[in-house]
Amino acid sequence: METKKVTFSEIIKPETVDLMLAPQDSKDDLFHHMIAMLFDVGAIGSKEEFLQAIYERESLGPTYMGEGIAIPHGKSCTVRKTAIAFCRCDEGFYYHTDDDGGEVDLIFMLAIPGEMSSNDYIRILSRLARLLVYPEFVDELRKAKDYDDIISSVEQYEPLLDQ
Amino acid sequence: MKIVAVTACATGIAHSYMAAEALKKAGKEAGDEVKVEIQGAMGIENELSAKDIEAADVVIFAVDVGVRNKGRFNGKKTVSLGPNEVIRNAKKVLQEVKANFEG
Repeated sequence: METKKVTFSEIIKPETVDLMLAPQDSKDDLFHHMIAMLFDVGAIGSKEEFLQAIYERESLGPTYMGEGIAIPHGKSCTVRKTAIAFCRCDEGFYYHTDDDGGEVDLIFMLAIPGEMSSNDYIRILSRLARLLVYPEFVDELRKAKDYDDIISSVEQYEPLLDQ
Repeated sequence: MKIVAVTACATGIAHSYMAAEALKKAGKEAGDEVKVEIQGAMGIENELSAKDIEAADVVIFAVDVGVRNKGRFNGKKTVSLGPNEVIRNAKKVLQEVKANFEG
């Protein structure tokens, strides 16, 4: 039997995408907002535990990636299934990190189960991270009108990774 | 110029892959041969061969954790920096590495 590959649309749901985020006063407010989205789709069992995992990762090094992008992520046993939340804030706001941080408008939050059973899930998270290196893909994310636009941009640009 | 690189980061999910992709992309744009080994959550991917390392003019370590099997690079010219620097400025990093090590 052929094993089915995990697709991007399985780990990022319409309910975990917010394209109209208002500027956030603090990173903590942002994290609470995104964690609530992940909690509401059942991706995580405990908001508090996941927040702790996110901050543990923050303490290891900056998750601001430049070019307006931040990728906070947490690996924890409270994560029930691999998931991504995505927020876009057209006005932008400051994302603080231990070194400096920067202005962000695109934020991806990755929820990674403590016991990562399948490499397929890591692969899909890593493919998203790799796509963010391509300005043409990032432009599409900035122009996307809805969830479907985002998924179709990923599908359109994914072949870049296999060249 | 022939460049090999190793990327690694704390959780091995995001930075190591972004840094690898950024280096590959910058290398392609500048016409350099860049091979990148990723030491991430799935283990070692695109492992550099002894031949790759032998042929390289310079080795870039884009890591914020230790490099696994570092002994392979003994005797090579190496540059170490954080994966974040590479993600933000891959083009500039390559230019500087080339300026410092060419000829």
